[in-house]
Amino acid sequence: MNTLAWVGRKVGGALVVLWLVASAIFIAIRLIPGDPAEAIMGGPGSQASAQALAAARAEYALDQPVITQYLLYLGKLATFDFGTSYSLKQPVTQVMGEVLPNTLWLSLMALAAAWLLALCFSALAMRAGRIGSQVGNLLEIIAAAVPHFWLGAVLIMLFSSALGWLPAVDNGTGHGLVLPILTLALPLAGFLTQLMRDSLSEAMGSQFALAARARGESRLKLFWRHGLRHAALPALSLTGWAFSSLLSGAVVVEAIFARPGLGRSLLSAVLARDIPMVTGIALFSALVYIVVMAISEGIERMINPAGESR
Amino acid sequence: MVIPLAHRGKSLLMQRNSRSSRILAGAFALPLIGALLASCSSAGSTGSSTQDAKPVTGGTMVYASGDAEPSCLDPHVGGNYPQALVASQFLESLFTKDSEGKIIPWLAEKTEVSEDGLTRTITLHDGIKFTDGTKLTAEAIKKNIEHLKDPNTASSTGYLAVGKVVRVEVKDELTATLKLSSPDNALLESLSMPWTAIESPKALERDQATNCTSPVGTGPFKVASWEHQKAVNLVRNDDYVLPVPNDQRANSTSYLDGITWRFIPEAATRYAALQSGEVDVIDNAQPDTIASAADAGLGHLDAPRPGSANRIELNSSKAPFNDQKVREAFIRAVDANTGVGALFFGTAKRSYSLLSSVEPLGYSDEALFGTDTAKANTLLDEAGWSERDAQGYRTKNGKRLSVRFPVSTNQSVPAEQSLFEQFQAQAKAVGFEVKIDLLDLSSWYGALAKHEYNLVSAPYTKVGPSVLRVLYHSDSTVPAPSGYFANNAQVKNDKLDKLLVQAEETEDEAQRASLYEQAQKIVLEGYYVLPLYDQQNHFLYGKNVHGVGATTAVSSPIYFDTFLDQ
Amino acid sequence: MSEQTLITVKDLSVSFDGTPAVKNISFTVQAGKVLALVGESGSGKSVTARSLLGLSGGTVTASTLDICGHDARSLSDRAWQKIRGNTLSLILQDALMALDPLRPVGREINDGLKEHTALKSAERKQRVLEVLKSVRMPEPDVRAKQRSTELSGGMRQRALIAQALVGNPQVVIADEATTALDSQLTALVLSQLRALKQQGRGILMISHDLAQVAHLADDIAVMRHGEIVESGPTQQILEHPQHDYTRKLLRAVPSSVPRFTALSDLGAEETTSPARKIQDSEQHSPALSVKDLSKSFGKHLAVSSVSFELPRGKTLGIVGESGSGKTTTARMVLGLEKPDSGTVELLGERFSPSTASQRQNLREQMGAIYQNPLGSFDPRYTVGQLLTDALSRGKSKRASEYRKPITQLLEQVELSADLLARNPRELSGGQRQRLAIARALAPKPSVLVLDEPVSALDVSIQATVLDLLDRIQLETGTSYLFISHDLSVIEHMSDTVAVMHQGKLIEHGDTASIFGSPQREYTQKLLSAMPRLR
Repeated sequence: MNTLAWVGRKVGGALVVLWLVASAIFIAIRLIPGDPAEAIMGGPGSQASAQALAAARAEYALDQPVITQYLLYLGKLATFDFGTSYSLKQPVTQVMGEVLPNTLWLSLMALAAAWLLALCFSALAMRAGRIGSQVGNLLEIIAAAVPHFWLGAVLIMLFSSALGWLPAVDNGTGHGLVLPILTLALPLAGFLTQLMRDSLSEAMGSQFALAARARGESRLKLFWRHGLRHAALPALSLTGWAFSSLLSGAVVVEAIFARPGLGRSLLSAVLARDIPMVTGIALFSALVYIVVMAISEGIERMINPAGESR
Repeated sequence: MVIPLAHRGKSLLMQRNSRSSRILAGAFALPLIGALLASCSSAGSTGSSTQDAKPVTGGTMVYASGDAEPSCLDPHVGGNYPQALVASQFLESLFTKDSEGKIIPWLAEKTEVSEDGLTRTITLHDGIKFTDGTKLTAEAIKKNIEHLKDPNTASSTGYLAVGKVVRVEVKDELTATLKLSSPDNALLESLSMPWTAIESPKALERDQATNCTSPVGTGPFKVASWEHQKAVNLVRNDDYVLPVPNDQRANSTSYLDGITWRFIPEAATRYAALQSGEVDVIDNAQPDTIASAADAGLGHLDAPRPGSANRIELNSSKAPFNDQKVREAFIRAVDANTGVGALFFGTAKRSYSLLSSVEPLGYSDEALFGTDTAKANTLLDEAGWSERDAQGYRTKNGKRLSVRFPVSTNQSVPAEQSLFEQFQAQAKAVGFEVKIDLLDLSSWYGALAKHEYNLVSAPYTKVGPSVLRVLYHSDSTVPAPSGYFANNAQVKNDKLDKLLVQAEETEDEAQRASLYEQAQKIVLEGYYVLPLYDQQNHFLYGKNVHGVGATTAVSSPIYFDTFLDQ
Repeated sequence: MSEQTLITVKDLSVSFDGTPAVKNISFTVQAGKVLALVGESGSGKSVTARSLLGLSGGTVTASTLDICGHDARSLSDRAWQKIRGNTLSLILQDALMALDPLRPVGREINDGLKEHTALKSAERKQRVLEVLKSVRMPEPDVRAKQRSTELSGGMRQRALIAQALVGNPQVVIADEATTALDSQLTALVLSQLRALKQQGRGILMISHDLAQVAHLADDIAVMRHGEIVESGPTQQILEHPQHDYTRKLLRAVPSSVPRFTALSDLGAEETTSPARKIQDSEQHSPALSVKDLSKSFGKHLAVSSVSFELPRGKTLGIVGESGSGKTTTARMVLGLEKPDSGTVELLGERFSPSTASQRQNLREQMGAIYQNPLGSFDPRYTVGQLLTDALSRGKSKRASEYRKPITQLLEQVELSADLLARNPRELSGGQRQRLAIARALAPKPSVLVLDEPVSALDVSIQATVLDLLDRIQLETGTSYLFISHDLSVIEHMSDTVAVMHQGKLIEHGDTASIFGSPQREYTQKLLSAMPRLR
């Protein structure tokens, strides 16, 4: 179908998904025990008087019937009004805007790093013998399975405490980014390598690879001209998912490395039962996921208009 | 006051001993005598070359806190310990504690109370300015207390602290009178805390959001900027005046140019940053890192918080702990000494008191808490829990001897959680089923509010023995509109109530001491509480940092005398 | 340029990990002449072709391996790269896969130029278009920007040939270049190769299909198990084969072989006027009667108003190219697709796909055999279990109950009882297909639908399967609906033939008339392209 129709479909689909996510969040949050009014007044154990609590409820429309609250909520969302954070008393969009670039930057760099690592490992794996291939496979699986909190702590212990090569927290120089990026990128790279390796070896052993070699191409050129594209294809279609998994990994990584970002904000918001903040960040994550998926689908279409999976 | 001891770091387990020393307390406190030092028997800072180094001006110190970043820097709002830690640098209180733990005036010059105890007059020092240029006058006292009592401020700690103040009248430029609803001999202690610190009235007139980002005070530092989730940037207050002058300090501004106040919640990262020199001082140091700190040449400040000790309280309002025999049986069954010694590697000293060791009026009776499993078993038999079920737990009339223990992962560090697990095993041996629920802070408060607990550990930081009234008076079993109540042990004892009220109203020091002692005895002998150790408050600092040790009345360090190697 | 020897091979051996695949073969390729290397799978012919390009992947030894003056026994990688595409080039079998589906075909062709010439980008573009024109690609500038998946079969083949020609090679190796192509495309490729031959290039054709190479090759070498068992000029090989294997191969080619004449040793004893176990077909309704069958997929009209009858005990061959609608028709007959309109009658009864239970009963009267049987076997089952499953029809599955029928079935298809415990994956292609036949015969159906049943098989195996099918028809009277694109197979196997083109059945009649005097223009065109051995 033509591009305009495709874009239109994507946008329409996105709106539906966002609406569903917003509703799911609305329901989920209302299932969490605890009085939102308390959270507004500074958390449990605050000395808020009954009047203050009532005032808070009225201000945030918490005393209205659920349907009214739902409609108000949707109405506000449509105008990008995510409300005011209960704990920070600032507009949610403002707080998010401050910390968002950090998380986006971190995730993008981690994504790029993961891709780079995966391509290198795939290329290396091509030249490995049988034993090398098995070892590589095992390493990839381990890398993909390792949880972020463990990896981050180990990297700090190794590179910061023991060797002193890299700082544990951001100290103004770019070095502070290396460990967090590695922590996010390594598991993803393990996963991507598994995908790429299969596609790559399939491509390199295929008929067109043979034909290309018969034309006089060296193995290296074969890799560049043909192998890369085919290797990248499955990884590309998963990039949307990969990026969103990086966003959720950012929650842990930002906490470990004390970096400002959406993940950290989300963590404190959940603990403080800061509903507007949680809602804002969750919706934003959904939006990011949708956008990235659409972009990667678009790129895939450009590379592979026929929709072949090979 | 509720201190959500928010977000202590998590620890790994390791070892060693902290060498506390009063040497430093003495050597360094001397220049500051008549000023500030929250001392107690084990408080003190150890560090290499602290005594030999000559103070140098300059440099910005980097501080990394393991607590969650406060949502508001003004400790009037809410009122938790992380706020106190940072506000201690730029705000000062009317009163403070000296090295012996006695309350002395600070911003105030002198104070007196009327015969009937209902009027407290406070006179301020002259010539002290806020960092916005305005002068410190009695008007400030009035405005600050009104700010605390204003529901819009949403103060919890400060609000409770000035609970008995009805109104404040300004007599002259430097004198204010506080009218009280009933005599309050804990008022000065209450006014020594950062949560009742004095801010510029002009600054208080701004909207709360603005005031939260940069409260204006009289302290040695001031807030330059706050980058959320990154750092609070403090700079030297060039117009700082020591309220109580001091020969040792020629000019009375801080040595440090400023402090970068960061937040690193993950304990391993925080310590790694200290080791590598990225940060200069950290708080919430875990037992294992304290132990290895000495070997690494790092300095250590051990400053237990005032108020209650860290203890386990038994809910006496419902079965099975409504029976004193069962309470004692539980307490006798567990072996806290071994656990504390092993899990904290000597960094925490066993306490048998309801109060922190920095409280002079604390009473303790070690004999009450000796581990005695035989006695525990006997008591349980006597209490009627003589049958056992298939899993080995005791039963009575078909009901199992089961107790719930919600544990807040925010407040209980891993070492403490392990301690509780040890207790769980030891209690099982005599027939208790202890169910430990690890909960986040909000859920934990929720469980308490719903009375879904039999055991709980909820430390309370407050200056002075008046904390006992907060914790053990029967009024404290009545929930606030939010559902919160402080009397977790649900002690409802008329005699105790009378003692606690009286103790707060008498002006006779000796009588006060005696009344509080009697009160503590009732609670301890009723086996409502199992005291464990002081509220731990450890700071570690790098080799290049000197002059650490001075603290406020709530044991939060002040870095006025601190300097860095250049 | 005539009689110049371009490639000389003497005592070529190729082995993989010690296992020899090619043993001491010798041949030459001459300018302006075509050498065909003919053999079945496993004969080593493809390995031979690739070793001429240095791409065999095994250990190559030879006393002489001369490629246009280069001693190919000791070429470095770089030297090889200079030769490949330049001096000799390769045309592979499947144009869809031999061109990178992610890249425009123009780029693929361009690559060859990049490797071997110093032409600039614009010049290269020009050259690409020239080459495409020379293989008669319509609208070459448009096609060059498209990927192989976007092109039709014919255009893909042309692109494939173009990329082999762009370096102006002296020798062209065509490795199974016409296998799995329908006759039109086969004719296209063969005519291209003929043109190349006339240009004076040397051609090495690898094939398993003697009929196809017969008209183009000047010399034929027959390979078997890595050795050349016989070689010589084409006429000599075809008319006076010396070696047993060559004779067997020649016999197996169905081209122009009369109905029921055995192609292999498996064939029926009697070859003339066989006694067919059938009732007089006029007294009973036909086995299959299809009327006005139509089916569209979206906007595409796959089958349009197709009608035919299959008399009892006979074979109706449906022939057409890919996309003609023959498979869709077969699926509708089997009840796997619901026709948009039209009816199917099986043994006189309406066979309507909407009633599942009726379908179930009637299904037993119909069996199906496909091109690739492996896909239709449950991978968990052994041979014995598959047959038990087919015999039991969903009832009791105890193998013991069915031992006798299973043995009978195996005998019928000439499979040894040793194979009962094996998994079909372990069987050869021919064995699998025979197993599929056995399974299809288990419920003793009246009609068998066979969709390209032998297209994936080697010629000699194909011969055994076709003979087997004939014998079974004689013994049991099963009617066959035989679908194929291979005209010679259809001619040999069918009593009546239906020709399909673009969804329509354009001609229908008995075999002799259709093949002898085709009426419709399309049929004539189709038949003219059919390679004949005899």
